[in-house]
Amino acid sequence: MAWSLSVRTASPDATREVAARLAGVARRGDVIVLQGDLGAGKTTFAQGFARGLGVAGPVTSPTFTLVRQYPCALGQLVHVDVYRLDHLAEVADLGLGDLVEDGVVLVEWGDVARRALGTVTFTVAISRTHGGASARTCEPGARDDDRVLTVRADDETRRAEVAAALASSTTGAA
Amino acid sequence: MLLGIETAAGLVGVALGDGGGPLAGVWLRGERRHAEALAPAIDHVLAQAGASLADVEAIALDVGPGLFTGLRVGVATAQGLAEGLGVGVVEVTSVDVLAREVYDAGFEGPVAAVVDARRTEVFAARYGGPGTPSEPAVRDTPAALAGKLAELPGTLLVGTGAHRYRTVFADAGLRVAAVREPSPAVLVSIAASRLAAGARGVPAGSVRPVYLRAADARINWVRR
Repeated sequence: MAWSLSVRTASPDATREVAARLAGVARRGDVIVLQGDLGAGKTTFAQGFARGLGVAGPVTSPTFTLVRQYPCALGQLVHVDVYRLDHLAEVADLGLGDLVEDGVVLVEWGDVARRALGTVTFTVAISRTHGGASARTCEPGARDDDRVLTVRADDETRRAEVAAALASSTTGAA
Repeated sequence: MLLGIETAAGLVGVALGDGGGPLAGVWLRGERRHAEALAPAIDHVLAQAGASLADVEAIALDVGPGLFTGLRVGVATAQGLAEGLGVGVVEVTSVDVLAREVYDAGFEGPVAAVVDARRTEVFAARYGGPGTPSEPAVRDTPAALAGKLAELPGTLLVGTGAHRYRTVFADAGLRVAAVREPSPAVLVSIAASRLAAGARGVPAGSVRPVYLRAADARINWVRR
């Protein structure tokens, strides 16, 4: 049964806030996939998520380093970007399976590499509501910074936790 | 002399041996310490044995299956040393090292070597008895593996995966031996006996770790 929960944000700070709340329900061993076009706000989300896990210091894009690791409340936050990779074997070469038990893994562009990631706990899709080639929809009055964050999860218990954590800001569950 | 490098399953292990068996060795449990600990461990073992890198005639390497983090360091170090010294690498699997240890101790029944693959999976290989080769190792869940092994009465389990999921295996009536991580000394013994039997090491560039991961495919980038 498809389940998803959507949240609207109107600024990068608001996106970080939603991400921080989602981090509140993350557990050691979780793999979270971030989906969204260039500039959608995946790294912005990662910054808020890291803050929610108590990561001190700046969180920057791992596009060129592929993997960055930060000590956090759940062990370590492993922030990954597979954007520059062309083969699933390269994703496997990152050895994420070894790292996930030591913390939480957050994978930008991870939707294209699911087969190499194993069980994914949450998927967070970030899309713009304003125009532009990559926008899914163009709503009247939408602004540049407006985003819709859609969370998906397979596990019933985790769905309930996400819903509770984001209860005050959701625009609708389906 | 043979230099053994063991990093496939949670240990940083080094041993030195010759045709007469292991001469010196050291190991430490090395979660994420492989990169910093392996080279000093090699230096230490060589020094304790009164040897130097120039005495190394071949490298024995555990090529897995096991954990990526350690395997990468072990494989890269073995390749660098083999290239620099102009010697070959004898590739031994982690499951062969694990099984050999209980057979060397005198066990004669069937053995299953089970290595923790993380995320509730294990790598496993079965052996019918001493000296018998195993089927190639496979990736499996502990419960599915326990079901298959329960059909082979008397199978003895060894390895990090057997220990981690010992209650799953015990519930299926299976016994778990004390052997947990592959031993660098046993690794060297296996390589020495293979060389004595006429096997030859492979050149550095041909060394390949056994990852047993999902099949490779080109990533389907529709919107990059």
